[in-house]
Amino acid sequence: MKVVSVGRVAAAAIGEVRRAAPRAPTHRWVLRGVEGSAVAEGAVTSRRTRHLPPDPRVGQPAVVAEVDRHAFIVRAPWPAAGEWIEIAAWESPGRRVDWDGSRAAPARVTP
Amino acid sequence: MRRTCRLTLCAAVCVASVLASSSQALAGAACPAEAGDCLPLAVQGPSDKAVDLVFVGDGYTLMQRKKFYADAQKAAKGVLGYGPYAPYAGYFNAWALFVESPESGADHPSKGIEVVTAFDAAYELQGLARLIYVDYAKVLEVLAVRFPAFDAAVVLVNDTEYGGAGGDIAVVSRAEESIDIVRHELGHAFGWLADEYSDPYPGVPFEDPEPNVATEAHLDPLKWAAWVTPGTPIPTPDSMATDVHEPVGAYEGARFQEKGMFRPTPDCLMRTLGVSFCPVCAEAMVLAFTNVASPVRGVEPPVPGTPLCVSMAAGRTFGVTLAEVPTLSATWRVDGIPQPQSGPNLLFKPPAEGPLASAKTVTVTVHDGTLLVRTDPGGLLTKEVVWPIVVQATCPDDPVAVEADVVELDEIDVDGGEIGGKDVQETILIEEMSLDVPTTSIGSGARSGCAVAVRGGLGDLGWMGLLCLVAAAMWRSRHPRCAYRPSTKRRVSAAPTDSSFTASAGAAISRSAAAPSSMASTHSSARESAR
Repeated sequence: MKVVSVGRVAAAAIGEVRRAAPRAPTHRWVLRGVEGSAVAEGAVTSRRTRHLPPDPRVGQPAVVAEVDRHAFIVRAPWPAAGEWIEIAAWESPGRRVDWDGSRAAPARVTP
Repeated sequence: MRRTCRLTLCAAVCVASVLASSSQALAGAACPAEAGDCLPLAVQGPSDKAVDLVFVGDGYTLMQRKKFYADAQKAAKGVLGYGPYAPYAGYFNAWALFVESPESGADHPSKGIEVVTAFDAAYELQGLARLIYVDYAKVLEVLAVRFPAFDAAVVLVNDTEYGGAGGDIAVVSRAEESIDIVRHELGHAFGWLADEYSDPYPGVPFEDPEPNVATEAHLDPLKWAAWVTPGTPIPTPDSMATDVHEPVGAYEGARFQEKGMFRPTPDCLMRTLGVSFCPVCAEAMVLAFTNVASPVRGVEPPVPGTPLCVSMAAGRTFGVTLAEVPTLSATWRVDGIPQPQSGPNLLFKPPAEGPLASAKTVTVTVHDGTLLVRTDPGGLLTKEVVWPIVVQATCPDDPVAVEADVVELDEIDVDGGEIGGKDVQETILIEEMSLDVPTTSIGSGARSGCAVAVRGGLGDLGWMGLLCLVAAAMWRSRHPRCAYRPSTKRRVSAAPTDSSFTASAGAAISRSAAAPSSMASTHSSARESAR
């Protein structure tokens, strides 16, 4: 399936992105049911780096830079009443963002 | 003696109408409502059945809206007409979303140029002259609201100085060479390809999960062994290189490592901008396209939850609509027995006896015979659709047939003959013909052209089609000797083929044993399952 719905998680300071393969997962999400059980889950791959390959046409070598501010989209089922989505860095699951589907409400960041 | 009525002018008009309708269909492809100020650049299928490539602009003012759309069109062509993308353009939708910027251009800090734009585009990210920064959060917010179904996004920066950036979203300037950055970045996004350049990137793990790189420990077996030029030593010394892609072997230096990491060819777009994809990367791209977009756009009838009744009397036509990819083909089996008919439709009429008299399944296998792929471990290039069936003497939805029967003898042209009969019957007949005639037959027979034009109802006709109908009606009113006559005779001819159709005397046309209009077209596309 494609996108079910999209919400924005603000202030999602949820850990460093792994300096990994372009397609290696960097974050995971879990849709929690009312009782806290995992209803659905998935992985996100998002690279903090910006890069360019070498280009001999303009005499430029490869460049790689890491940016301070990064953003990504999580495609997940929209939480029903009482449900929420946890988003955490792949390698530091303890630090996460919880989001209950409300656009207005800020995400709860769990340090 | 009977002779075939010909409706020459009508044919010409109707074929023109079909072509016009086809153009209108493409031109009429609309952006999703939530997309706002949006231009469809290429639409090949429903969003959930194709790859959606979305272009957004930064540094384009409202006055430069047309310029943005022109740039996006050029960029889309630059991608979809390139290398392995080209034969698979039928899998892609491309869209342009206009985002107004207060000012034109991008920041050039070293030159003291600062402009206010929608996504804060700026050259010289971290002092690297051609590396362009855009605020991903702002870009993603636009995409999430206006085109959440995007599969890949490209930011076009309204600046002619060469530059761009790769990441989750490709960023490119308007400079001619910048389009290679998009091609390269989509190599990451779709092909899961690694960078093949050796320039060091401290901290990156030493691993090789991508299809185009291998550590020394993974040279035997080599993941791209099917492409290795016979006789080429592994590892392959650089001195053996005869061309950018020849010979295929295992060259040291890739994925930010000078040593211990290997790539398939001397050079590749994943190593150097301005070079084309090597065969190994092209193969990965094709497999990735197929993994995202299905070659099957639709099937008819829909696959039911319970077995589908197929009557021994009338049989049933099964159809599959394929994406516009030239290497796709469809073959059919009934209970596993290959059928001689190939192509998008199968008319299965159960025999009175033999193993197929009680057949249980009809299967279409859609295969991509591309030469760009030599290894397909996941079976991505082959899709199957299976209809469970039950054979019965008759089915509730057996077709009610009418006969296209010319009862008078004159050779008739638009201004010299007439089709008599009742208007209603004629209308029905044309519609039935439309159901029965593949679009590829347009122009092969006067009525097949008319029929295709009529297909889909009056609303789809356009003015040319209406002109056709008016001409036909006038012709009919003047020439009562040539008439269609309804008949209860069942279909006697073979299923229509792509070759031709003429409404010759005595031809019988089935009402519902034929594919609907959507199936008459030979190609289209679809993604059937989760991405």
